[in-house]
Amino acid sequence: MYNWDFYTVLQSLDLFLIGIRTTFLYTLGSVILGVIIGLAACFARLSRFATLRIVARSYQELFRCTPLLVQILWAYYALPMVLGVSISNTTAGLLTLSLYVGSFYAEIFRGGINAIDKGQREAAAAIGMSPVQTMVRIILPQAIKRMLPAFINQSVIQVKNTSLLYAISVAELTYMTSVVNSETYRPLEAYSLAAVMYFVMLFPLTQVADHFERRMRRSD
Amino acid sequence: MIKMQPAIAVRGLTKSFGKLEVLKHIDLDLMPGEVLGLIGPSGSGKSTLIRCLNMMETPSGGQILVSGREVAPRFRGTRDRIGMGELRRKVGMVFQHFNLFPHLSVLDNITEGPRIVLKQSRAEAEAAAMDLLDQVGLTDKARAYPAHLSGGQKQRVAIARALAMRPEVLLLDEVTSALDPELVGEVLAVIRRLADGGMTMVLVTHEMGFAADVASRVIFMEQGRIAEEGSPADILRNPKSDRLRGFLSRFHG
Repeated sequence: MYNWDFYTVLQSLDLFLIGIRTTFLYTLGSVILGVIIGLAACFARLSRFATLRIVARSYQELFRCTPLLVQILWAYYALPMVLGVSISNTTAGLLTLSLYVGSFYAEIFRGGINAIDKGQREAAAAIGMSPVQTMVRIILPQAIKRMLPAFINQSVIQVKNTSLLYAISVAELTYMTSVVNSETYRPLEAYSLAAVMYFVMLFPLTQVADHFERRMRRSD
Repeated sequence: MIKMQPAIAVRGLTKSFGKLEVLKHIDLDLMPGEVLGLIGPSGSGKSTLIRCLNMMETPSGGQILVSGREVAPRFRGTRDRIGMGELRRKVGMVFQHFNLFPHLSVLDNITEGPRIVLKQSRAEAEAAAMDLLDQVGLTDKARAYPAHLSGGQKQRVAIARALAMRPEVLLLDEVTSALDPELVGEVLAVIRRLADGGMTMVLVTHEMGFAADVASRVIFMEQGRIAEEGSPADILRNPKSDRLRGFLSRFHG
């Protein structure tokens, strides 16, 4: 019979908390940067300039069709060789996570905007609104409501993706759990606890996404 | 006697979608106060023509002049060319499918243009909007959202929204085609009052009785051309061509 011993592991609660804090900060940072990158890529893809469209599309496919772990390792170990400057694991991690999530956000934003009936654009144009006014006042308020569930889901995935920063020794939750494990030799307790912590953080978010999705269906 | 300038003048207008030539050299003068009815079979180009008048479709060739100034296919105009922004402030449009803004209340739908485009204060825009809602008989719906209105109510709000910009010309593109038959009357009544009030209008319609009643001139379009044109009495009661006679016969049961 296995002898559960959470007490030993919980002695290192401060290490878990450091991990949670780091995970939270990387998520927050990469979501904010990702939204900015995603918006830029989205509007580039909706632009009438072919060059912009191609550049944005290439960026998106590059980051969507290669594994995030490979991207992280490449940014940390390979990119410094290309650039000839050293890159900290913080920079490499944050940059990669942001670019990765931005490529998915761009697609979510684009889908939300394209889903708005073209009659809305015409009606706004017909009362003399400029393209920018139309986007900000008519299209985006409607599109954001539609995008919200997919946006939250992608952000939930993003929280979990920060665990890949383990590979470049960023002190996020998974990495810190491995630290606890090596100090206590209690992998079952340590990794179970980590899983529970991720779950407690993310379950409410998925519920929020479901709530918005239900509300959206009702209003349609 | 001073010669009146057309509100909208169309010169040699052509429009193609890919290889399909939808409008073939259209010439047309719309005089102030005139109510022009556009009729014709589907695919005859009447909707494309009315949509070219406020640049919802960009013409492939020819000219459109509004108050004597040529329209440029860009938002901002130049000294002698009128941009699409100014054009659409002068030439309003009502659509077949209403296209109300679903995230805004009825009142906000109407005040959006005056506030954002004409830079009116909220109070000024709302006072004018309430007047317009009164004209279309919907003051009690000011705070409602479009989803809670009937089709006829939506279309009356859409007309009020267009009128809030105080346009010189109003374009009505099959505004009763998406309505249940019992709701058509309330919308036509609003348009008739506008016509009586001297509003310059172009209407694409399948309501032949209404066209006969409200239009001062009727144009029958066929295959991208103006096939016949004249007073409602001439066009609708004494059609010259077989095609027009055939077209009209489909509307008399």
